[in-house]
Amino acid sequence: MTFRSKLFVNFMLALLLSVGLVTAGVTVATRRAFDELNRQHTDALVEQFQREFERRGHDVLNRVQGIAEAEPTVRMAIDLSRPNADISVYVNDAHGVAQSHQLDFLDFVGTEGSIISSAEWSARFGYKMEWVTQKEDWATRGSFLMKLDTQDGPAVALMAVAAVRVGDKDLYVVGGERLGKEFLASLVLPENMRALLYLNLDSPFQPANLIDSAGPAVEAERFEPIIQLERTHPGPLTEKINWTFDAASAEIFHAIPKLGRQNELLAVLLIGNSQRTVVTLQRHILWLAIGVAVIGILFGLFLSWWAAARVTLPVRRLAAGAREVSDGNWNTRVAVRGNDEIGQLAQSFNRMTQELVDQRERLIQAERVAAWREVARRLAHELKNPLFPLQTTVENLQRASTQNPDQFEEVFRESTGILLAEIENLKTIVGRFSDFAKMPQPELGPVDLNEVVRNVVKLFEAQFCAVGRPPITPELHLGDNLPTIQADTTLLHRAIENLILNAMDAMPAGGILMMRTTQNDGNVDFEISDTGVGLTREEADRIFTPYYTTKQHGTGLGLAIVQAIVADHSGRISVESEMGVGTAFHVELPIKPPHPQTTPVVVEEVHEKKVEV
Amino acid sequence: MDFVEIQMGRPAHDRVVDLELNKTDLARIPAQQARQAADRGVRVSASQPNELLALVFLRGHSGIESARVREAIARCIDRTAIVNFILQKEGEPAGGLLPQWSSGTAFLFRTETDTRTAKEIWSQISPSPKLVLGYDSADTLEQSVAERIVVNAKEAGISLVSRAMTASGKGNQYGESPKPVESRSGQFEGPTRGTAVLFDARLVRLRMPSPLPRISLSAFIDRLGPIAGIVDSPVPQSASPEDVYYCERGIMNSGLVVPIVWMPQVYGLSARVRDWKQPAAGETWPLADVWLDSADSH
Repeated sequence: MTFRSKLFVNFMLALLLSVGLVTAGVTVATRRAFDELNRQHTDALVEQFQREFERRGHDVLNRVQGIAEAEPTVRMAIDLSRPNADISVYVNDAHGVAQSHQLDFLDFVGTEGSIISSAEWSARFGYKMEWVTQKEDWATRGSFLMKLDTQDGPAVALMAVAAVRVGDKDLYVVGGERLGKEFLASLVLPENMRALLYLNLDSPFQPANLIDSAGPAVEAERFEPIIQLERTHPGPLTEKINWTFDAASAEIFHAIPKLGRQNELLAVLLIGNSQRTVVTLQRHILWLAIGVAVIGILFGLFLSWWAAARVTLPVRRLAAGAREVSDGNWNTRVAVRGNDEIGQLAQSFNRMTQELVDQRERLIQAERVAAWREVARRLAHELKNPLFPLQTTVENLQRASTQNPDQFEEVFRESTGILLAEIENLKTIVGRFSDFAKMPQPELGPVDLNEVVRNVVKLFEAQFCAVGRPPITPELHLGDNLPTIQADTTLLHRAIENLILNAMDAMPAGGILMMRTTQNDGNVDFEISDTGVGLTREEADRIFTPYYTTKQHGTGLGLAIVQAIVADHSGRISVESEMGVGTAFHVELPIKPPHPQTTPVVVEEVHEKKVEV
Repeated sequence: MDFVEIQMGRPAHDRVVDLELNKTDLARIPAQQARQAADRGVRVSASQPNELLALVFLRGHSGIESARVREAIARCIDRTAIVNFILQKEGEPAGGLLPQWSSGTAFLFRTETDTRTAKEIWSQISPSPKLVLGYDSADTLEQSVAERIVVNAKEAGISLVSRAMTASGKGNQYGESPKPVESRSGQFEGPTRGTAVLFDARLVRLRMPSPLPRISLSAFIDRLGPIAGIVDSPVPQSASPEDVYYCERGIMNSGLVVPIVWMPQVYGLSARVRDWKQPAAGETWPLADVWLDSADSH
């Protein structure tokens, strides 16, 4: 991963984290604000509902008191106050009065508590309604909830009682409204709210006793925990019911216990507040926040990409410059902008490359001087040996012409022979140097390296067993199925020849000369080792330097030529040696060299050398 | 009098209104409305009580096979309250199948309410059945009486509910509904469409076909037999009043029929009707002697 990518990823992570935290914070804050608003709204509505309930109670009370104060009722009371009054004539009166006053329940009750007329259950005439005659000031009691027996079973009603006193006798007017679906339907509730009523008529929870304005409530059993709580501890209670997995389907129910005259729990009003609107609004805000976050992230993505590109541009330039330097282009420079850390790094890089170039120039110069000195030394050494006999021979000729003229002819003949021999020697030396200088370009073609090795060895077979010198035993370990390589046969032949000559010189006491060919990862390896005297570390380091030799009469060009040939074939050569044990050369030749290379400068060949001692 | 116009099937309420407005001279009115009509100035003429309203346990009902169940219900019924409040005192409590003025033995049958005993009897029945009492949905009197019986039964702890049996038309001369009566093994359509209700008992009106107790009892047996499964043979023509009593007693002891009230035939008369005589049981209207006073002609 590039530095730019890493920087971009870091920017993005920071951005995502920030946006995520902000989004989460906004969402939580919004939800809390909505919850609080919703709670306040619901509290207000519950209070409104309570007032509505109280208003209905007052309304019932007013209607009952209106019936009690009406002329027919007063006449009935007067009639019933007489001795031996016939109450049977009033048995059907309550029904009509109840209808005209829109009451579900209306009973006329005599002073002894007997029902004179009952609107809801007319057949109950004559039976006692004793609770009416108990000591209670009905004038101040107001409306109250009560559990009643009806033809259809027990019911809960909002009741009121008014008494009409004539003499010492009372006529009670007992009226009320049934708490049922009609009552719930008549309540004015805001949108998204509904009212349910649980009539606490039976001991265990009965789903059928939970009704709404349309009749029995759907999934009434879901309310059982609320009702049970109200039964054990009557009081305001708020519970949330999730009807489905969709949060919008949830409803918050506020349970309001409704108690009777003896504080017994008669009913539980459940005011449901649908969360659909709130949840929908919250979702809208959430999606809006997500949309803004996504846009922010996309925008941040673009900005991060741009910022990463901008920030890493100098670094990438530095990296490109470094790659140029590693590829050998030491003249690489990077543009310097600003004086920050990157700018200082670029300046340092430029100074470093400038220093490298300078040092390389100095090194090349020094290497050149050293090479020329070595050449001069070798030339002086090589030329000094033939020049001394030439000088001596010329001086003998001069001395013979002046001191022994009679012998001059004989001296002249001998001297000219020596002069010619030494001049021939000089020509040979010059020829060798000339050959090294004129290394030909390799002409590539398919070459069987094993075949080349065998041919070269065959040339040296006589020398390995020459009379008068210790024998050298060649051992060939040539690999099977060795592929042909693209190479110049003549040059390879010459390189192997030089390596064998070098090995023979290293084994004056004889020994074993081992040669091995193998295939290795697109290369063909050639290894030649001897059991000679070996090289010191310093000798091994300089063994491929032109004109460097450890031999008394060597030119120091043999191994340099070998290295040049190997390099021209895009190969590599290395040497391993141990004093007293022997020396081994390893040559790696590509099966198909990318392109023939010209022999680089001697100094560079020295740098590529791998030395292991 | 040039002609007599007779309207059939006119509702009872309209008949009373017609009498009050002098739009009719003679109309039969329900017994329970006689007092109210009289209070509004209508001349009322009531016959001897000759129509019996009785509770009949339907044939084949397993729960009612228990005589104790039938006895508990019979004891809890407050007949006096029914007469006083529902019939507005136009009638008398019924203890037997024949009225006192006809048989002279009606006083031998009990009519008193005994809620305490009914409660005791019912408490001994286990498991206690839930009973359904049927009434003719077109008969408001039957409905009122049925509802009152339910209240009485509730007071005694008896589980009894009332349900309308069908919206039938007028009854026959014996006050019976023309609909087929089926036992518990059968089913009646209840007041709610499509709801099948199994009835255990029903209210039946039985009008005496004759002042003679033997004839009336025989007619009642004929009518009640298919309903309640009474298998008593008809009373022979040679039966003495004592035989009639024992036959009546036998039916009452079975507990399958619970007489509730005797009701008179009540007629409303306009002010110009003269020489009106109540028809005897089984007789048609005696219009031959009736004349209208032109001075009160409307």
